Amino acid sequence: MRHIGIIFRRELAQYFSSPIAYFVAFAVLLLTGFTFNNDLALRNGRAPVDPALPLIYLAQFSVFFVPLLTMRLLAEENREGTLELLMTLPLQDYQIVLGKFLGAWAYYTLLISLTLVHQVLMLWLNPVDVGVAFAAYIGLWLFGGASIAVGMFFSALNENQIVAAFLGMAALLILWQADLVGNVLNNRALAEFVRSLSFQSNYSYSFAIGIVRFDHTVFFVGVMSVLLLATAQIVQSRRWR
Amino acid sequence: MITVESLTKRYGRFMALRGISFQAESGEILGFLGPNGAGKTTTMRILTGYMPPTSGRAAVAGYDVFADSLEVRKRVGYLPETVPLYPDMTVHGYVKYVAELRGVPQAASRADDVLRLVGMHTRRDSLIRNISKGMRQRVGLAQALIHDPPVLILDEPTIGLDPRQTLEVRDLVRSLGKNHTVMFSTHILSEAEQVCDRVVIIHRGEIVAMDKPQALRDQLQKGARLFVRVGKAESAESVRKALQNIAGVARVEALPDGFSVEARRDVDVRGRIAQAVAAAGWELLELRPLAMSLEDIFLELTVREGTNERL
Amino acid sequence: MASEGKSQRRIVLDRLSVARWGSAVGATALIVAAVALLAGGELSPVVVIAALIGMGGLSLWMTLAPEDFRSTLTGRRAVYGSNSLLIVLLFIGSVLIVYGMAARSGIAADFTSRGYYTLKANIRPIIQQLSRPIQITAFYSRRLLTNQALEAPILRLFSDAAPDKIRLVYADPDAQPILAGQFGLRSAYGIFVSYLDAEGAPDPNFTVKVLTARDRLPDLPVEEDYVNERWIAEAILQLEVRGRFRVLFSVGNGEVNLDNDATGIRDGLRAVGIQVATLDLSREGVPEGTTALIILAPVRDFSQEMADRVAAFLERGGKVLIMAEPAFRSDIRFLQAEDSPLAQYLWRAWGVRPNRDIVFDPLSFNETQYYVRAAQFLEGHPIVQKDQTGSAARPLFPIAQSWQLAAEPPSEVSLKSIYTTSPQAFGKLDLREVARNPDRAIREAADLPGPLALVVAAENQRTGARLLLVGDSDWVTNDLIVAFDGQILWTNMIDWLIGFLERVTVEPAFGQLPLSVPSRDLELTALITVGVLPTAILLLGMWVWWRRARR
Repeated sequence: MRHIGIIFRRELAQYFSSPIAYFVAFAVLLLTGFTFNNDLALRNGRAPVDPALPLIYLAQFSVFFVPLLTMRLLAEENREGTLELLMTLPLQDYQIVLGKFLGAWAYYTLLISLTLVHQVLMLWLNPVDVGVAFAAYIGLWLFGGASIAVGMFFSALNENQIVAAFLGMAALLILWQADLVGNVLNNRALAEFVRSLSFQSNYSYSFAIGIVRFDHTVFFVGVMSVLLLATAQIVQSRRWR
Repeated sequence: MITVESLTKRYGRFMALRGISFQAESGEILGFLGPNGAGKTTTMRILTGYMPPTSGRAAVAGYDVFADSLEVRKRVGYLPETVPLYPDMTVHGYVKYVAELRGVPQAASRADDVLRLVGMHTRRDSLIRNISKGMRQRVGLAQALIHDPPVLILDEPTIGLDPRQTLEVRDLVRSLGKNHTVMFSTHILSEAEQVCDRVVIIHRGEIVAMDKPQALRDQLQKGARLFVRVGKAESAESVRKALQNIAGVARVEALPDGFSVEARRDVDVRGRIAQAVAAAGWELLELRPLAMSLEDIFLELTVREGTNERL
Repeated sequence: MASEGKSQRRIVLDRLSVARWGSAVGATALIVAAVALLAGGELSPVVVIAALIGMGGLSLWMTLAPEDFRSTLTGRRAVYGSNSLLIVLLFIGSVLIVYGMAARSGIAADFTSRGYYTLKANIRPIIQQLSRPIQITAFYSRRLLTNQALEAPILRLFSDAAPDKIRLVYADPDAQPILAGQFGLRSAYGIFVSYLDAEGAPDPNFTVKVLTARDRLPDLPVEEDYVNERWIAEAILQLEVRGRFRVLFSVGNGEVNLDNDATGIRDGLRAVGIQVATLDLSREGVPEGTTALIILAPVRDFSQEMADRVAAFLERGGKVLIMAEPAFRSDIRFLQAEDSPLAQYLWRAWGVRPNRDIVFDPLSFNETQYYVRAAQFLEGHPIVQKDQTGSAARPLFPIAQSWQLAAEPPSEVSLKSIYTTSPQAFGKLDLREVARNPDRAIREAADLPGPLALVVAAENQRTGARLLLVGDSDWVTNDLIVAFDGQILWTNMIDWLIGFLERVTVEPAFGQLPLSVPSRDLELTALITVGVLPTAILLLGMWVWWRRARR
């Protein structure tokens, strides 16, 4: 536990001491801001404001920016040789993986909490359903954790950060779009199964409409833990490969 | 302290280690000598638990590196070949980070102590990305020393250092060797000679020699080539002839600024050369072993072993 | 070393490398086979061929390099590799089990302030007191998986409220055409509630289709179709009333022809599970077990005997719906005579009688002002309610007569005028003059002044009998029922008569108001979210960069 905490602190501090994390946050906020304002303008006079909206956008953008945050987690360590340091320290391999994951997740949490500004503005413009916003935040937080676990998995598989980021994006895009699998697959049971793995269906049609379902919570937590376990196994595999 | 028994490592079809065995006693400085690609780094990585051997056994302080990896890692300080540094951390922050992960009490002050030891505490607040290669090497060394481990494994700790820093690091290793077991690799023969209690020479994944440095040097340099420069001589040809006539000299070659003298095996001709030069009324300006490159030594060693086999 | 590498590269086709290539090709082919099998769901030629190649490749490896094969299976890598693979697989398995349990538990927290995903308090007892277990069969084609996901929480409300009574089954109309056929489903989407037969399968004879948004708004594309909690509850109630409610249509007196002009309302009743039959009152009285009697604008008036039979039914607590056309044609005599036995009974027992006029409403529908669009309605009465927002149905009555309500009806009768004309309307009593000059309707002194009652509902508190009077019948014919809320009015009338609407009524929920702010506010929002916030982050990043460069 102590080791996880030490690695977690370093990872989180890493985000704040390197400018990249700020630029990612800048780009994400700008993008979210544009879509958010565009949507407000479209709704004005026509439809009520949906507090989950900026969060659904953020979830969509996560597909692209989360791999940018996670690509370095293990690939860089591997390349720079610092993984050799970590792996020859008296640490369990899962502690390395977990500490890094939690660091990235904490950064993500701070990033999404910046959109509280959007929520306050929406409250000021139009009384929104705060309950829906709350559920949507819980969902987005779990969504982010699962996305980070996906990105980290590819970062562990790969020494090259760019390849790790690209694979992570591809995987997250598939997981996001798996929602539409019914249009492609003939086997309905499989289509439903694949769809139930879709991040979009577990978020946009669940948390983002104001309902926190136990099974969807288990889904995101499950994806997180399975991928973290797999990542730890990959890291550990160096010891016996 | 370190026991290695018929260790092999195979990367795909490439055999990096072909069954090496050696031991290092407590308080011994073991030099690991060999050219690049000889298997030094592979051996050290196996010893630190970073990778497993394909077969064979390695143990540190009685713990098997594969089965009791964690216990081994607690007792080993390791400086890998590529110094494992985080460019965005400060020098002190980095060393303190490793100290905390190692569970060293009072990590911050211990980090300062170690930085003082390696002479880096004046730059303790610099970002690692902004310091020179030699400084990085020393920060890496500080990291390896942080928990005062019984076993230190240093992979080419002096590479990239300027001569003064090299000397400092050698002194440091020597002083550490008084109460630690140090295993350090290098491809510089003289370094191994100066620092180590014992030297293991490894080539193409095999141990080709293992002995005390003095013995090893004697063994190698008997019959080795000497460089001779002579002043006040009439002609180069006369000097060459004079040298050729010395008993025990096998061959003399003229070099642009002197002569290369190759003695017969197991014969020390240095005294005779000095006498011969003085006798001819010339001045002996220089008489030194003609530095053999490591490749030469290995050539020498492998050839010799080959001849031994034939004999 | 270089020479070694070269020499090895030269001997490419040794036994071992052939064997290893075989194993690689074989493994790939087996994966392809598995994927193709899962995707196609059948043993297609691709699957078989890939599987054969896979097995061939692996056996090549086994025969050519048995030692390599054995060491691969028993070496440390194999042991540790399969170990960690097993750990991961076991973990995935346990996660799936937990996920399945979580999905079955249906535990969910509804954070919407309006409780959209919580079963309404008035629906819960209906579900929990079901007489028999039911199955909700929800059909979604593959293309509507998203709709399925969106509606699942609503459907789950029911099955979760009474898991022992309600089973929720999803089906694909394309994959299970026979099942869809049993439910009479012809589109990609449909939800049915059914009782179970002896074998536990949904009983087609006891199945009610949940009316969807598209049934109410036929123009809606199927992708946007949906159901809500109330409509499902209604369908369940309809199922519960199936067989229990019996509605008889009076025939034999020139009524609106159910087999021809008004098949829609009859089929509509059947569709919601109400038994429908006909009854000739001149031959027999209203039999026991009849819930409601519907008299759809006969031409000939009822005899005393027939009127007595209607009266007897009402006295037993029966429900009667009477529609009566004005006598704009000379053959229409129903309730027209002063001494009409039925009219006299209605006035005596219920305090209401026909005005025997033709209603003319200048504020009404502009095609002809004899087409009376109900102008006023009794707010809040279940018969006028259109939807959950609480707005009212505004039916159109082409050529209608009005009703006179007694100032003091019999004490046990509560009498309500549900729909009335505008105050500017008037009832022309000289029907011959109207027939002669249909376009020149001018108010005369003799005419009845508006507002005039078009639909009257009466209830006898002692017997529980209910009577509904409508001054027009044309609106229920197939041509007109779909227009001007006719369907809603019809359904509401039957619901009120049979008396289950009260049980389902969901309090009108007030939707969120649309965003309506001056553009100045939106500009400020944009300034903060696109300008200030990202810039602040950017500046912070630059400051970190600058500080870092100096260390």
